[in-house]
Amino acid sequence: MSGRDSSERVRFLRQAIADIEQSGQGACSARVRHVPMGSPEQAGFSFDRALGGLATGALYEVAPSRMSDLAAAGGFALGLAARFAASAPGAILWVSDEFSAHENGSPYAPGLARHGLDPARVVFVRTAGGQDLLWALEEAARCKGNAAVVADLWGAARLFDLVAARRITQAARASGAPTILIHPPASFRGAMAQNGARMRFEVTSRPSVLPSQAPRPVPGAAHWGVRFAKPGVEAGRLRGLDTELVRTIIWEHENGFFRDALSLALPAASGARTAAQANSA
Amino acid sequence: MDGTARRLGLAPGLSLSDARAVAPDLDAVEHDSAAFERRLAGVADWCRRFTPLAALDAPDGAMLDITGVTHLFGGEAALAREIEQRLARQGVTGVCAIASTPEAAFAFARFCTTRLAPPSEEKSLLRLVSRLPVAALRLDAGTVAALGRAGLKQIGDIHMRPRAPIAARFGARIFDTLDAMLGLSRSPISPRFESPAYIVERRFAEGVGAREQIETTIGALAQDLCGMLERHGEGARRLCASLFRVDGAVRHIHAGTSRPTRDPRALARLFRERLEAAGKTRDEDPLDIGYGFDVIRLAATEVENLDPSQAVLTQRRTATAAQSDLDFSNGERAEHLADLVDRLGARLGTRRVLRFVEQDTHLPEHAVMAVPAAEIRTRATKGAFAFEAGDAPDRPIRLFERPEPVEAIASVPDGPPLRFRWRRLTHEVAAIEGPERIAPEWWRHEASALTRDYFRVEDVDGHRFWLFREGLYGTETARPRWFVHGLFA
Repeated sequence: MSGRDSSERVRFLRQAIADIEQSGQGACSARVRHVPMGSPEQAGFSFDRALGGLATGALYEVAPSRMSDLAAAGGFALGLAARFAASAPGAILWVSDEFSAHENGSPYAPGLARHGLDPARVVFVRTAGGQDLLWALEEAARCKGNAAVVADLWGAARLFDLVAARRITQAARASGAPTILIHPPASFRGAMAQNGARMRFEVTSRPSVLPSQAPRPVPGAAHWGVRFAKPGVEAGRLRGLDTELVRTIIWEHENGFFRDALSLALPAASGARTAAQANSA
Repeated sequence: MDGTARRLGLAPGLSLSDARAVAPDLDAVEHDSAAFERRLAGVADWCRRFTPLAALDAPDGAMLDITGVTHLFGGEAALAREIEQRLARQGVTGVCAIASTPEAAFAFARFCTTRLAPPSEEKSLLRLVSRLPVAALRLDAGTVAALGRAGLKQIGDIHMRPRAPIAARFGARIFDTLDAMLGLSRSPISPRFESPAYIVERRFAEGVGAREQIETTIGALAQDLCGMLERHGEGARRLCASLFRVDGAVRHIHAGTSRPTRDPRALARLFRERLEAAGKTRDEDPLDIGYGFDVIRLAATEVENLDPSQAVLTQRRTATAAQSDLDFSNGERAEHLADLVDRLGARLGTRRVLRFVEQDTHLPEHAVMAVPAAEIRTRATKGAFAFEAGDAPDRPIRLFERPEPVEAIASVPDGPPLRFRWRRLTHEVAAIEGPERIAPEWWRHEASALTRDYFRVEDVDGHRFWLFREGLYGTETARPRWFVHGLFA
C-alpha cells in the first residue's frame, strides 16, 4: 500500500469515527443551533455562506498568525463569543492563567463593553497554571449555564494534547456550550491538526485605514485577515473550503456582527471621519 | 509536671540549680512559649471532638462546655477519663476536672485531687472550695502574696470574713470569681469557634485512611446535613468539614457556595474538589492522613433561608423576564452556572473566579474591580460600563496590570508618537487618535502621580495599541516617558 493510500484510509476512518460519535451523542446532546456570524438583515457574509453559521456545542480554535497578532486573535474570539451570547442567555466564561494574564494583559471590562460584550455577563477565571486551566476549561465546557466559553490557551498549550481536545469536545457537545480556544501562534502543526475542533481560524491584524489617507488618519473599527485553517475533517460542505484564502473582515462592535471588508457599499467610516475633521479644521 | 518528675521530688517554680541538686542528670530546655501556645491551641481544637464549644483557657488550659453531651461518652467520669487517656496517648500530660462553673473547673483541675466537683447546689462544694489555696481564684502572684501576708491562705479564710475590707484592699475581682465559682453568678466561656448551627458527624473505631472513604463519609454526612437544613427551610452558604486525626491533629476544610444550597451531591462535590486541591496548590497544606481520621464532622457554619417554593416561582418568572441577565439566583441556567462557580471556586480558590464591577473613577486601571463571583449576590446593574459610541472602541480589550515602558519617537516632546519600540519590535504609526488627557486623582493618590496623555495608535500592519505619555512636558517633567497600557482587538 502506498503512503498516500494509507493516509487517505486513516482520514476515512477518522471521519467514520466522527460520524459514529455524532450519531451516538445525538440523542442526549443539547439541540445544536447554528448562529450566523453576519447580520441577518443583510445576508451574504462570506463566512456564513461558507460555513452555514456557527454551530453551538462545538470546539473552535483561534490562533494568531504572528506573535504580535495575539490581541487580534483575542478580539476575533470575543467576536465569536459575542455572537453566541447574543443568541442565548447565560454567562461568557473566560478562562486564563496567571502567566497569560500577566504577559498578554487581562480582560478589561470597559473595553469589552465597547467591543460589544456585556461585562456583567462575563465570569473571568484566572488559574494558577496550565493544568488547572485545562481542568477549569473542561468543567466550564460541561456546564449548561454558559452561553460561550473562551480560553487563553497560552501557558497550557503544551498540555493541550489530543486527549484534552477530545475531552473538551465531548463536554461541549454534551452541554451545547460553544467553546473557543485562543492558541499561541503556530500551534496547529503536527498531530493537533487532527483534533476534534469544528473550525479553526488563523487571524492577522489588518490596517483599518488606507496608507493614502492623509494627513493624520484615525484608527477605525477592528479589521482582521482570517483564514480557515482546518482541512476536510467536517462532513459535507465544509470539506470543500479553501484553506489558503485569507478573507478580510470587519467586526461591527456597535451591532455585534461580522461583515466583509470589501463587499460593502458604504464608505469606510474612518476615512469619512478624517475628511470631516479635515474640513472642520 | 508528670509522674516521673514528681517521684524525683521536682515541683513547678523550683530554680534550675535546686532542681539539678535533686536530679543531677536533668536536661534543661528553654520554655518555647510560641510553640507551647500552638500546641495548646491544637489541643483546644482537638477537644472539639467532644463538644462544639471548646475554648482556650490561657495560659495552660482548655475549657469545654459539655452541657448535654456527657451521655454520649458514658457519663462525666468516663468522659474525663477518656480525655485524659487520649491526651496521654498524644504525649500530653493533662488533668481534667468537671464542675458546674468554669471557675470551679479551673480551680479543681489545678489545686485539688477531686476531679468531679459536686454541683453548685450542694454544701460539699463550699467545703471543698474552702480548702483550696487563694491562687485558685485566678489571682496574680502579687495579690496571692499580699493575701498570704495578711494571713489569708485558703479560700475559706476569705469567704468567712466580711467582704468590704478585703475588696477595698485587694480588689473586688476576688469576690466576683468566688461567686462565679460557687455558682452564685454566671460567667460565660468564649469558645474558640462559634458553635455552628448544624453539625453532623461520624465516628470510627479505627482511623479512616483512604481518601475515597473520606469522600464517601462526607457524602453521607452531606445527606444528613441537607435533611436537617430542609426541615428548617435553610440552605448552607459556608461549610466546614473537620477531620480529627487519631493522634490528635485536626484539619478543617472550608467550602463556600454562591447561593444557599441543600443539595447533598453538590456539597459532596465541593468537598471532593477541596480534597483534591489540598496539597496541589501552594497555599494549601497537603492533606496529611497519617494514621487516619477517627472523627469526621460536617458543619454548616453559615446558613440562609431557602424556601422550597422559591424554585418553582423563579422558573416561571424567568420565562417572562429578559433572559440576557446573568443572575445567580434565578432560572435553570443560572443554577448550572452558580454550581460551576462554586466548583471552580472550591478547587481554585474563590478569588480566582471573578466578575467585573464598575468603579467610580476615571483612572483606567481602577475603573473596574474584579470581585469573587461567589460574593456578588445581587443582579448586576444594567447600563454599567456606559460609554459614548464611536467609530472605534476607545478602550482596549486587554489591559496590562503594569503598563509596559516603550521607546517612542515623537516629532515634538508633547506631540503624538511617530514610531515606537515595544518588546523588541519597532512599530511605525499609521493612524492615531489622541491625546485623551487623564489627570491623576490628587484626592486619592499621592501628589507625585503624573498626568497621562493617552493615544490610540495603529501601526502599518494594523496592530492597535493604547499608549500613554506620562507627565506633561515642561511643567511636570522634562523627559516624559511612554508606556503601552493595553491592546485593542
